[in-house]
Amino acid sequence: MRKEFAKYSDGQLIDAIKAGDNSAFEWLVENYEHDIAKTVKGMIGNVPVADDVGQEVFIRFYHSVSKFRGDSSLKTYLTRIAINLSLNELKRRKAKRWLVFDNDHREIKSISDVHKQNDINEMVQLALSHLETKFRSVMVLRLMQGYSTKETSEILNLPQGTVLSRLARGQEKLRQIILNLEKTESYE
Amino acid sequence: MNDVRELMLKSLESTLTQDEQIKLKNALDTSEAMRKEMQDYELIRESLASSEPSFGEGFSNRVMQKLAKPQIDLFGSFKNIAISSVAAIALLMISVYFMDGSLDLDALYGIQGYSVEEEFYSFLNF
Repeated sequence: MRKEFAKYSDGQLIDAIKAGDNSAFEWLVENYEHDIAKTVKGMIGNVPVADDVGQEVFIRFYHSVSKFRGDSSLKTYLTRIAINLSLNELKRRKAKRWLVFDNDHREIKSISDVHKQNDINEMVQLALSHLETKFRSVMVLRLMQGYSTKETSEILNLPQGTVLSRLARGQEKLRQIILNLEKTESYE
Repeated sequence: MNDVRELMLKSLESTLTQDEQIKLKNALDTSEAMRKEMQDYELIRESLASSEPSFGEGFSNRVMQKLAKPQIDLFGSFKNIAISSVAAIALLMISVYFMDGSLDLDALYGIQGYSVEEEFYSFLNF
């Protein structure tokens, strides 16, 4: 029966969940947990509480399933919940930023000069967690999740122009953070 | 943001005009720093696109278990008690006001219009 859900449209799946079919909901969780993990972990980092936030995304969805009108896709709807809960978690944490960044390019450096691919991925993830939330949310949705600029603007309720400028500024800042992290590492 | 950097980032999101393409190409051809910066942006985008974080094994089971647990809404319970209490106090005060025509302390204690002795006796009897 569960394999049948793959053939269901969003509307049919929602109807099944509304009718109390828990296996439909479980299938939805399995099908979308990967996307939600990308959003949540991109936003709050690979921390233990990310699992709780991820669970909460689906629990919230389950309890508010009657409000889903199908204006957006299920994935987009769940991503919106994930972004909001991640932002709440970030507000709650109020993590102190410990890096002082400068925009002074005194040295010609490149990220790839020093790091191997695995290091680069770790470094990018670490740098992402130090990026301001408004840039991070755009980077996560557009570059990690692969949403279009239009979809990103709809999820974040921002004009497309703002999304594009935050994306450009975000990439610039992210690179600067990585170079600063690299500088910090080389001092140790 | 300088012009060339703007073009670099724009080229990663959309197609540049012919003039923009020429300007960017010239900048990249003549500056090693710009070439490295462009490589960095491509590397960052590649790294983000390829990242595959997950919640780990048994995530859907944990969600289903959490869903099965009864949710205790402490705030909701407190809210109901608080609303009922406020309604009861308001009713009491309205009835006191209609009976005694006042909401002063004596009226609230139910001893308005009594002399000191009468109040004392009523207190003892109570």
